[in-house]
Amino acid sequence: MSLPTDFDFDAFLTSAASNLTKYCAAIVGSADAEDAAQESFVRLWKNLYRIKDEKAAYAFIYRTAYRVCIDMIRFRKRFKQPKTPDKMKNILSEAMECALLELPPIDRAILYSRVVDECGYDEIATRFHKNEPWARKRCSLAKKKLKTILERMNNYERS
Amino acid sequence: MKDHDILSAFDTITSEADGERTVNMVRLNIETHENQRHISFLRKGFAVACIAFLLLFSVGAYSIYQSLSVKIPECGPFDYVVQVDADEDQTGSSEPEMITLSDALMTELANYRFDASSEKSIYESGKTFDSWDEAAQWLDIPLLTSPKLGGLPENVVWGGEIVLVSFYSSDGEIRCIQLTGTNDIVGEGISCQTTVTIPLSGKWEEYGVAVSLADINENGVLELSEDQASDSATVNSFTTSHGNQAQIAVVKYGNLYHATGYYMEGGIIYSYTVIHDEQLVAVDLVKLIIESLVYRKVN
Repeated sequence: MSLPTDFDFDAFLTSAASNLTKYCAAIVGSADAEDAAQESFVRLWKNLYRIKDEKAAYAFIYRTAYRVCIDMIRFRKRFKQPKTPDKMKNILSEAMECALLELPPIDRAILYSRVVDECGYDEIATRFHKNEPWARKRCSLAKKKLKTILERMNNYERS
Repeated sequence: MKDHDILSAFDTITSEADGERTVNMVRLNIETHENQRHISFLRKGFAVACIAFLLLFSVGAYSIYQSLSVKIPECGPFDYVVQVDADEDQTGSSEPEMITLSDALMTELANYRFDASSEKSIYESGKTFDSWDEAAQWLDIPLLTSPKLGGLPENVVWGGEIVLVSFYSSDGEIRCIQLTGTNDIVGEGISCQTTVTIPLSGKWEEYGVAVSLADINENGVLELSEDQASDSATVNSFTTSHGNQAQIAVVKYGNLYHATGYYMEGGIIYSYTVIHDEQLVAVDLVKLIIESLVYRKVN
């Protein structure tokens, strides 16, 4: 395996591990986040010969992490379904948590990238191997879905 | 709904995700992978070393087997033999004393005369060929030229090229390989047989009619010895128009003269026997054939 001279995997691992693990947690849940992140890093390590620089490494690892998480959700069936909010716990943040967990994984991933990682649409597009208009549209859709879920939850609480 | 609320919720969802643990797990995982790769490399190296050892052992064993199983004839003074048709009156048979090649004999021949690369072609079956080229290819020898005998008189037509490859021996030892053209030149009162002899080594007793022995002298020229048993046998050498040495042996059988021209090139003796009721015609025709052959070689 030939390693690119200008890319330090260990340094990249140290700097990116925390964010990537949280990103995975946002998609797949905290219980499996570390496994997903680990798997993503190992895949990056095995494909180092294809990585030219840090930017390419970021694009690769986030793309891979999303796929790993989706695989986990699909095949392991370990991701716990969101709980119905407790009537007593009508704090906005908890409702938001539940609403986020109810979102499809791709919407969660896009929202996380946009809100937490503060990615531009071009960066989100790179993570998902799509173009910028796609990222912009999906981000907007994800927010609409989130809003709809929250409204439904409020109606549920009132009833 | 503000981004801040979403951010806060995500913080809660991902609060338990520990990047440090991920780093440790990845390092451990990669270390394991590298160890496995190292072990795999060692295994492959060991396997390659074993194969190389086996190959070397096989080659060595084969070489030893070859040196033990192949008897290479001793190379003494070279007595080269030219095949001449045997006469029924003298030998009791109208056929030249040839032994048909067997695979075993050819293998032995191949071990001596040819290099290993030609063994394969010799192993193949088939001893009669439609052309000299095919026979030469089968034996894997470079014949001087296909004896098409160009430049012959118009009334002489080459009858075809059916070639018999034979192993020639008088005492059971390998002496020479011969390629004999079984089709003659067809003409008025003319017939011709072409023989290519690849001499090997050892002494040779010629029982032919015109020639008893053939030697290569110090100058590399073919020398024929007259057959003392035949009163009418004569051997004369002549120089071709291109300065090449050739020899003609003539013997009379009944009313017919058998004139045989000999020409040697590359250790292979080419002989052409022309049978005619006039000696001069037979000799001239043989000379013409030799000239034709040499002319082809020169050009």
